[in-house]
Amino acid sequence: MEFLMVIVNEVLGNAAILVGLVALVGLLLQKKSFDQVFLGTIKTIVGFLIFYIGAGAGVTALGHFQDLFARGFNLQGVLPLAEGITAMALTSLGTQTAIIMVLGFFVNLVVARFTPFKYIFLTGQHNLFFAAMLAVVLSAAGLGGVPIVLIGALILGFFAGFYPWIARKPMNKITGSDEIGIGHYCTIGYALSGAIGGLVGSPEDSTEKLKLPKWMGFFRDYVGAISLTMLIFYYIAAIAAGREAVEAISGGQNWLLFPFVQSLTFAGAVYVIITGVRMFLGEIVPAFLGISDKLIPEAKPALDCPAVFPYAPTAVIIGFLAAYAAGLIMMGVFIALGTTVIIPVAIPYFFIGGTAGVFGNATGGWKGAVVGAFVVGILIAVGPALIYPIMAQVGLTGTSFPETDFTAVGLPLYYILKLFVP
Amino acid sequence: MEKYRALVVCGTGMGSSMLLKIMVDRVISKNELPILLEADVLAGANSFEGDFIIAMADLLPHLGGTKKPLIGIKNMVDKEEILNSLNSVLNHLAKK
Repeated sequence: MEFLMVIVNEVLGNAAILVGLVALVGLLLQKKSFDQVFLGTIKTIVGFLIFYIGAGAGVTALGHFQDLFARGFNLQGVLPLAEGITAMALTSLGTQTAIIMVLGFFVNLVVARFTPFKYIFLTGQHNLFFAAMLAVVLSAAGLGGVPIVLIGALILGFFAGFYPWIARKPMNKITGSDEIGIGHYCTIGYALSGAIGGLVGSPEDSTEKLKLPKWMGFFRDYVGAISLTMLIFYYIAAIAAGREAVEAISGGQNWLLFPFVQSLTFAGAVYVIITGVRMFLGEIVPAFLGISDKLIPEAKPALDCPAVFPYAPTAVIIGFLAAYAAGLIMMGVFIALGTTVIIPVAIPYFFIGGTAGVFGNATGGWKGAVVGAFVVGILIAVGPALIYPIMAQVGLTGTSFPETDFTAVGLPLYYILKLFVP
Repeated sequence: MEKYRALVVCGTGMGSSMLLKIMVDRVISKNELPILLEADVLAGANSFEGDFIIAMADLLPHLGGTKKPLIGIKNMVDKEEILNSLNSVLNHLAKK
């Protein structure tokens, strides 16, 4: 009996082993060779364990930043980054998140088969983030293990089909066909940007007629963009807090060197996390695609946002700049209001703002790209501020989810559940 | 037959490069092309020791650090576009 309990609680309750078993079963069902089964299983487990390593390193650097920001400004500073908050959530809700993600995929298949929402959501990391957000919200609302994974999987699977559907019209306009959907959980923002574009401009005035300096594309380099954001805001916080406050936590390190090392440590931690994501998804995503192709060949793939970038690369840069301007303005608004300050991190602003730019350009040319992305830039500052208190309630501080679709599901879900759960 | 080695890259190395790799892999196995694929982040292209690099088309201007032949894909579900690009780079490599 004791042996059985060890199996259930310790082995299956260990998220990394659980996802390894899922990969193992998937690989065996695909009749892969022994070495592929072995390597695929091990890599999935190692990928998941790498999250924890990245989360540990990231939390420390982020914690120091929050300390200094609080001392300098008497306000709480939050840097929203889905990779960061997900890795932190996995350390306490890893098993629930993993089960929601896997079951949610099968619910997505059912939704694509029997409803008009014929999309299979293939952006693995976004499904992982969504699953983590749901696990956090459901757990913060007071639900226990089984209800968390069942409700979470139903919600994830439904929205995996539904969200790409709401942005299908501007998406088809971008790609010139209806073969693919947008698989990036800021779909509300993208659909809105497409609608705004049609109101403010015309697709004839395309962003692609403009020339921008080439170096601006550097923001798509992950480590570079995270480092730059962190350096700027870490130094602002450190200088505002003053030498004494920095040296109290730096363990003797010079107060002007400390922010430099901490910023780049945080960038390194995020890089570790995305390496984990890559290894973890390396087997899962191909398996999901194989299953959906076999069972529901008529379903359309919903793909990660860079799939639309080649259709309007200049709109990506313009969208990023417009969205980031909105993020900086919102930061000023938060400071003026004296609330939790949402600090714009360049990476989500690049990918989300850039995609919003492509959507706005498709319907409204450069004016559509600017206005659409600017509005989305406001949404991805307000959203994380609204959902942050729920995250903080389960001990996840310093970061939050920027994605519009997560806020739109997570907030109402939490407050509705609070009415029913004692 | 000796296989060529190609690297698929994207900005973060976790989303679109993985999907693009799956799509290119399908074209490779359907047409029995002699190519083995790996995936990495953008910066990984500079140190790649294989034969050529594949990315979404808009990334090509940021791949100046490598001298390997580059393929830029515009529509990652367009099997014909992928096949044509692969064939032309294979022809180019065979002439060397």
